[in-house]
Amino acid sequence: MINRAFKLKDFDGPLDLLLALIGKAQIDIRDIFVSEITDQYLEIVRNAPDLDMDEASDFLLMAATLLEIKSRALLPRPPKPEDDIDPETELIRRLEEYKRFRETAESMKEFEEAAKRVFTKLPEEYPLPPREIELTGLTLEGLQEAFLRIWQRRPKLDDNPESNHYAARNIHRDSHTVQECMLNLIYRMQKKKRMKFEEAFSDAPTREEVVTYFLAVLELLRLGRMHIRQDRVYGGIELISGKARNRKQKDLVDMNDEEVNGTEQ
Amino acid sequence: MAGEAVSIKDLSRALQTDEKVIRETIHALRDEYDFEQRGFMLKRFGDNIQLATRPLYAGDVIRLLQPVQQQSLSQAAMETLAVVAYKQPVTRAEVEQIRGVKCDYSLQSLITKGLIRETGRKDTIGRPILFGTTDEFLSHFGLEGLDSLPPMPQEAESNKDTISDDDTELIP
Repeated sequence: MINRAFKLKDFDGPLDLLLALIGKAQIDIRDIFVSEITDQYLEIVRNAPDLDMDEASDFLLMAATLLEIKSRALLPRPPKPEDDIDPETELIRRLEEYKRFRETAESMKEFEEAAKRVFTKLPEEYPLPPREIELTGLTLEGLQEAFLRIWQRRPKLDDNPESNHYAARNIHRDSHTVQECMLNLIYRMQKKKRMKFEEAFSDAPTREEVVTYFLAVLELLRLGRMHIRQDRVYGGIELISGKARNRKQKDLVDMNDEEVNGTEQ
Repeated sequence: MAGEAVSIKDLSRALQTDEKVIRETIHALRDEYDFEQRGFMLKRFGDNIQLATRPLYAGDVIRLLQPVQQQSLSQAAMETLAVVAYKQPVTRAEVEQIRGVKCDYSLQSLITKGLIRETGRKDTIGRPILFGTTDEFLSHFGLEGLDSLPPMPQEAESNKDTISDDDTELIP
């Protein structure tokens, strides 16, 4: 059967398929309706597996058109004057027009190939001399006024970093790094599979210490080395070693991560 | 100096010479280069001029520069482009009628490649967008102007046609 060789998805559209069938049968486009071509087309469309509506709609429209043409041929001609457009001639015209454009596209391709043998340069970039900028409206008074304004705004002599933004202050080295905290947590969780977040740091922790441990927890979460539970908003956070085994154990944070990445575990 | 294409208008402005004189000079230069089969030539597309290598020496250029291979257009893109080129200005619906398939993707792709552009709207219901080819299109296909397009294959005589009116626009 000729139809095995033709798969709908190989074709760019119904006209493409019809021309292929016509070509294979080696008949004239104008003989399309006296041949089996339309039956072959309909058979191919009918047998197409899992039609994707977006791509198939054009093919289906053509199938409907072909069926309409065939049925008109079977019925007696109506006594009133024919429509301006007889669908049969219209389809033949379309097929011939499409064929011509296909051939034109072929010859354009030749032009494209020939043009590829001509090489040009990309736009040059050269260092241009700097543009001359003309400054206007400069006066000595203007300069004096500007200076006075700045002078009046300057901070008072004040060494206290709290009140004076520009006062000198010491910058301390981090007492805790995220790396250290991560290692610490991993070590401790090898012995104790579960622990509360508060147990991670000392009894009177600095803000820096707490924040750094929190960051360490987030990193370990990301790496899948631990997961966490929090029963209610602002409730205590429990750290659990290893990846979560099922969805129920997972924290909201984990779930959102998955949803974002679109993967299911 | 430019490297890229320069429009005749820009040349006229920069050299402070009449456009007519520019065109004549370009003509003369081209003839001279062609006559001597120089390595380079003046390429014209639309109203733009660009210095380019002569295809005769393409082999040498490729060996020297090993330029980035240019991508060819796909079959579908080429068909869509052909319709736009020969029937411009044309609406998306008209292109789809001829090709028998939806052309959103092809048209968008051609726009992105700079080969076609919106040229206005048709004065009918819905005021659909009209498409036409660009100067870049001419450059890509080595055409000097739209009249350099190869003629379309002749229609069969038996067709009484709505199409023939449109055709005579572009077919010489």
